[in-house]
Amino acid sequence: MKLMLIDWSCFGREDIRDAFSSLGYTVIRYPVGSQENHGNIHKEQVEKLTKEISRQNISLVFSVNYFPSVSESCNQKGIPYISWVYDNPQIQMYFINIINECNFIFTFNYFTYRTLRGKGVKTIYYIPMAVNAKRLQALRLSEADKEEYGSELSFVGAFYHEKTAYYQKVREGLLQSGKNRTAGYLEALCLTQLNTYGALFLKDCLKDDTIRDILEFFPYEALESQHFIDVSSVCASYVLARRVTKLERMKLLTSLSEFFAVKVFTYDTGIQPGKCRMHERTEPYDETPKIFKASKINLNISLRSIETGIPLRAFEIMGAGGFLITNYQEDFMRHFEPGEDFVFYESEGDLIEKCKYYLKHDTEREKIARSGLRRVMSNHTYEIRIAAMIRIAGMGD
Amino acid sequence: MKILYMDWDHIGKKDLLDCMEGLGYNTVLFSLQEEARRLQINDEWIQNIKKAIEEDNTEKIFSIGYFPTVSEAAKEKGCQYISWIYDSLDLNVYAENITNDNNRICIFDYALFEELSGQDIHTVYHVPFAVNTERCGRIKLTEDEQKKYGAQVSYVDCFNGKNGSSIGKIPHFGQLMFELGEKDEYTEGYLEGLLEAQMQLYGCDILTENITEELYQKIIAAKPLEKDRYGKYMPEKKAYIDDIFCRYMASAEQERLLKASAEYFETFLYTDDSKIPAGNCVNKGKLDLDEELPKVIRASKVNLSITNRSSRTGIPYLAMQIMGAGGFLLTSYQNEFFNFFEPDVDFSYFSNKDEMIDKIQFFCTNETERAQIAGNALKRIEKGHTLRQRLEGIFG
Repeated sequence: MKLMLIDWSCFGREDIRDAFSSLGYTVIRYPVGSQENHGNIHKEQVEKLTKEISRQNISLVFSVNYFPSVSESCNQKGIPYISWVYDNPQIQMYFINIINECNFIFTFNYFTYRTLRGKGVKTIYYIPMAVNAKRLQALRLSEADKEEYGSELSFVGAFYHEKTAYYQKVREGLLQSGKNRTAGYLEALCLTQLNTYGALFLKDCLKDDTIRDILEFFPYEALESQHFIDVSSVCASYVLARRVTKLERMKLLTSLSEFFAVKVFTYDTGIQPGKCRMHERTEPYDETPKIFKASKINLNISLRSIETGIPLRAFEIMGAGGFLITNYQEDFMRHFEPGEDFVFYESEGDLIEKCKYYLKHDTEREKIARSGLRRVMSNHTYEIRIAAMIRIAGMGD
Repeated sequence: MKILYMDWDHIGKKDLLDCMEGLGYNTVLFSLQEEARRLQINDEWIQNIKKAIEEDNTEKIFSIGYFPTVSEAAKEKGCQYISWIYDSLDLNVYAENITNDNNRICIFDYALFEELSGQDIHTVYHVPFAVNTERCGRIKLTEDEQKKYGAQVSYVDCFNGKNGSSIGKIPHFGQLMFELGEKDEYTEGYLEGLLEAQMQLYGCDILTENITEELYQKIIAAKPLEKDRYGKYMPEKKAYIDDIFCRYMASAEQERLLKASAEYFETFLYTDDSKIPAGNCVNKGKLDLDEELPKVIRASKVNLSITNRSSRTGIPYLAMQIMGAGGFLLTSYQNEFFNFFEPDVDFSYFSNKDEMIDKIQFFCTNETERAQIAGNALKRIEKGHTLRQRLEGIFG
């Protein structure tokens, strides 16, 4: 059977292609440009793709993230379109044609699944991320690697400092135009959310007049009539949650660097949390896993707009055999045992205590890392995921 | 037992007197005027009360609410003074003389009890509200009354502004925000954001931590603390939080939730001020709480209880009355419910507006579940939360 893989520079594309191949599919790649241009239905794209589907006799189309045009083509041809959504939020995923019958859209954020189902969208499903642990286990660590990538604590992630610093732009715009009240309001939401674990309230605190002010300085094309997402969610996620995440990562890492040797790997320049040793961004496929292998503790501090989902990072850490300490994300409890496969923290103080403890207790730490690895190797491979998605799409035997 | 009952215009009086009579207490009413009810001790009234104690051979003095003047009089005559706090914000309870040895101060809110007893104050006790189920049970609902009171959703503002909660009556908050707005719009917006965040969350206080010293100084500058309004044991910052911000939030929240409910369901509001607007909510005006409250409760499908945040954990008066009258209770989340009652068995609760709407919808259409829960609640109240049991405990 022939699968059309919508090909763009997404993470995991090789692992996904391999998984389909191992399940007996012939994978035909269909390269598309940057996915930013695919937020709408483009007639020429639809025509082109539909022709290609016919020409190649494709039975199934797959993409990482959701492409409205692809869905249109598949719908016209009556073949299933599996969309595995990595980003949260992915704006395109809320496009009105997600209800096309050909769609099988998978989100790793249970909250998103529940919300869309609640709105009557029947084409959305929940499936967590995956990791190619076998490949990661095969990666060898040289002494030089250990030196470069290893640390007591490591953190890999973004600080939303430059190209996606929407909050800064909005704030500057508000202050310059004399909208001080809104500027103060947004700052209060961010700082308060930063200090509050266990509940997300950014979206619900955004009223109409505040949103109007934000939109003056935040370049969002409010296609509200075409989206299952409301503009308050967009503002809360892109503008506020990112800022909170930045503040949180800075705060926690700065604090941790007072007690431990911490390495931070990020593409954001101009960032210096406390005494952390900064390292530039690593190549995600072959280099980043070395960090997880070489470091004693690997931190996950989730992007605050991900309500419940397990971030890809966490899977990568466990799949590399690394020891994971993460902020609490509800979906972990669906698939993993806290204290056995991974550890979570509930506050800054708790995080510091746990780092202290697990740095002292090597055996226990290593045991947990091994258990996490075993769990992802048996339940969270790409083959298992792809097979599940194919089955749900009605294509399985 | 000879009790001198401090009489003033408080709720639940009929229930208390009826119950005390049933327990065989010899109760004499003493009209406690406004001057005697203030935070500041009034010497003239100390003498008046002492005279009454002598004349009646009083053994114990009882009041709803705490009155420093009464405590002094009781102390001088060697009488026990039992006070039961009904208001979610009773400013007198922070008075200096709460430590008088003869005091027995019963507080329905555990957090407040813990706050005071944690300062080595031994005269405070945790006493949740209770229901005079006997008197309540004697009140019958006629068919006409069923029609009159039978809304899908009912909400009774029991304290009618005499308490820390009332829709729209928030002059202090208004003044503070006006002052801030004049000088410092940024801080005005900041404070609004903080309060909005708090209003999204139940069962926790994020204001205390998030009102930083810097912000606090700006608040004080805009509206200095009113002199002589607060007692010794009221921390300054808490005075702002409870007396100004919690009042504002109670008002805003009631309005918001009632408007939301009224958008979808027939919603009746009972409050003294019949001019209060709340969207499509029907304001039925004043209610005789003694005779009519149980009828409203029984006739309505869903009875709402909305907690005032200045009481951080305590089960509200209205919630207990709802359960004790055999009504179905839907309340905003509040910790102490879970100590004494089982969720989805004795009552239902919500943690946000959408959840409230969903649950009203469900319980309006599922009569069996509703009746089941109401029945369970009544049983639980009769077992451990009758006014008789409570008074026996307090006076014992």
